[in-house]
Amino acid sequence: MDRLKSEFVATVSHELRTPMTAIKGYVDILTMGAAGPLNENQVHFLDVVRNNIERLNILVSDLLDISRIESGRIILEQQPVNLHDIAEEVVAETLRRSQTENKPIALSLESQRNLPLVIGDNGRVRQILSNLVNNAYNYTPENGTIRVNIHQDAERGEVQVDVEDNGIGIRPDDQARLFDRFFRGEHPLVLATPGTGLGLPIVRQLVEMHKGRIWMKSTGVPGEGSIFSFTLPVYKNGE
Amino acid sequence: MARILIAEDEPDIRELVAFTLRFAGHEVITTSNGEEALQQAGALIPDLILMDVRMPRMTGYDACRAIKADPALTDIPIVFLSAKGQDAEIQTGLDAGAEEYLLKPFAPDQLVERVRAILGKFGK
Repeated sequence: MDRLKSEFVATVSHELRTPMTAIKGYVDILTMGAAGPLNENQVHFLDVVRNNIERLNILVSDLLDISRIESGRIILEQQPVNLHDIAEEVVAETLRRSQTENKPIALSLESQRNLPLVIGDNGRVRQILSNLVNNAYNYTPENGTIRVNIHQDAERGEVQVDVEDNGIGIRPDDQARLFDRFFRGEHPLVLATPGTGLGLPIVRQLVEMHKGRIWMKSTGVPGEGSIFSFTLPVYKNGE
Repeated sequence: MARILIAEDEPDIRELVAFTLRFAGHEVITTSNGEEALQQAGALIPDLILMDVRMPRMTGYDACRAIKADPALTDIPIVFLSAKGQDAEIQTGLDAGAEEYLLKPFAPDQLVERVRAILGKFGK
């Protein structure tokens, strides 16, 4: 049954992506001015169409991901992974986004010296960290701060990553539902940000597939932000 | 400017890709299935082929394998443009000899940039 469901979602996703490519592509061409000059209203309306296509695109990708995870069709390609290198790429990507969107954010990365490698699937570990840093970026107003901190928990044989921001935070009532599928908060910044409420459930499943742990802390007070933390097991020679 | 062959059965996507690459200054030839793509590749020796996966008469995978098996065409880089995004499908495309796998939906500027990078890599 799970396999049928997964195949159904894969087929629907494929069928949706082709018309989405056409809509997005032609909107981009119009916006570039490649088909003639546009007035201010036309540019704005095309932006609205593009943002909604982006929402649809995230939804399709997330549905495909969660369906594949839940039916056991994602197989991790486990190998030694350097978390610092991945975090550097994710931070650099977010800084580029901050420049493109003209939204200044102070983003820093601190790693413990001689950090051990962890065992994981490089692409999926990147997806986990990228999702958490993107959330921090999305829900932190401009001129805010995001800190990524990576350190070893030698006692547990894990490396821990903390993504801390000083954004809108998460109300205590919402925290228990945060990892539920399709749950989204009601803060205006959440409502204004394209999302499906599937990102964190996917992240949690991926962390657990890696035999790691994930949790969060927030006072719920805007400006005090939140800290999302996850761990991955340290790579041992011969694994 | 490069000569680029596009094989895509969806007319709206074919026109979109062709318009985008012509706008970027390339010479573009279009076909709507894998069999035609194979014929046109032999006749025109393009600098690059952009190909959909699921096409009538001959799939993109089969057309790619046939092109890569022909010594006269084997050096032409091939990029798949496809909505098929599962790891196994991407691997099948790369195993067939493709240089890259660009997932739909892609942005026109992203397409132009990837095409520029691949042409540069192959010295074209």
